[in-house]
Amino acid sequence: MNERTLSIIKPDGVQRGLVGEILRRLEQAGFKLMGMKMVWMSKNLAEAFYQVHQGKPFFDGLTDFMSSGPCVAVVLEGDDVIAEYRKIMGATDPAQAEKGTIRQTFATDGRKNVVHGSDSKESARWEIDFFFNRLELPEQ
Amino acid sequence: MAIVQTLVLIKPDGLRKSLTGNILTRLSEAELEIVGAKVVQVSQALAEEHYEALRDKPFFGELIDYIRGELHECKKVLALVYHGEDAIGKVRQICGATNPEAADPRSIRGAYGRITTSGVFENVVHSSANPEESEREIKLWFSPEEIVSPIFPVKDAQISSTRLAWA
Repeated sequence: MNERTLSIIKPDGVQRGLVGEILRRLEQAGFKLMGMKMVWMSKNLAEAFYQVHQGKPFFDGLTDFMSSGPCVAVVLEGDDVIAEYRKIMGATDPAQAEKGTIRQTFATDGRKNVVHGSDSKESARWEIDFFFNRLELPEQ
Repeated sequence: MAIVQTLVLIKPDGLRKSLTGNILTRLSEAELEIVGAKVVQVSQALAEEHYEALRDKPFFGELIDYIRGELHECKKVLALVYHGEDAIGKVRQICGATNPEAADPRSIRGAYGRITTSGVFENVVHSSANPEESEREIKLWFSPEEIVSPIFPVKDAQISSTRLAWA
């Protein structure tokens, strides 16, 4: 089924020049890039984005990291793209990630893990709306 | 060499053919910084202003149709701003000559571009020609808050708006 998900290339991915390599993998999987934008989140904005994790021990470190430099937010569309993209991305902790996944190949640790991906239909919708308005997501 | 910035557009054929990753990977060899990126649906007005200098050319109409995605059923362009030492020259080198058949085969246009049977150069990417053009183009395609590092001076602009109020 055709659906959408949000991918974020995190500050470590952008800083290390991995944007092209990551987009290449996403396109090779057959996903369409429906929208993209570069954003440098403030600490406040990062806290708002990760509000579901508020109160967890990693919350402060995660939001510090996510606001440490520019990210690239990408809206992907494709068949079963939420689950398919999570497969390509790999597990949060690179040591647990499957061989050949983005995180297994490029992530340095569970925080500097290069990419983010929505985990459900509901969070995909919420996360896409967080970064993009209608005009920034051309239909065709 | 001076620190400058340049505008890169990945045109609708590049998006349609899923080449953005390949193109950005090639451009990353220049070791420049990306300071702005967005997917844009190109309006007639934006297209005409972008190609303003070519308005009198016989191929102007086709150029506009091409950048608006009328030729590829993909009405999207990926706009990027690269920043760094000699960014304009480095990006132009990696993009190759405007005519895809004259371009170095190892360049982006040489590898992915083509000339259609009706003679349109489908050359996959645009890159700014010189510092004056790059400034004009970047300011045309991006607003200051869409660029993540300060490349041009900005000022506070007053936005005046009116709304309905009870008389």
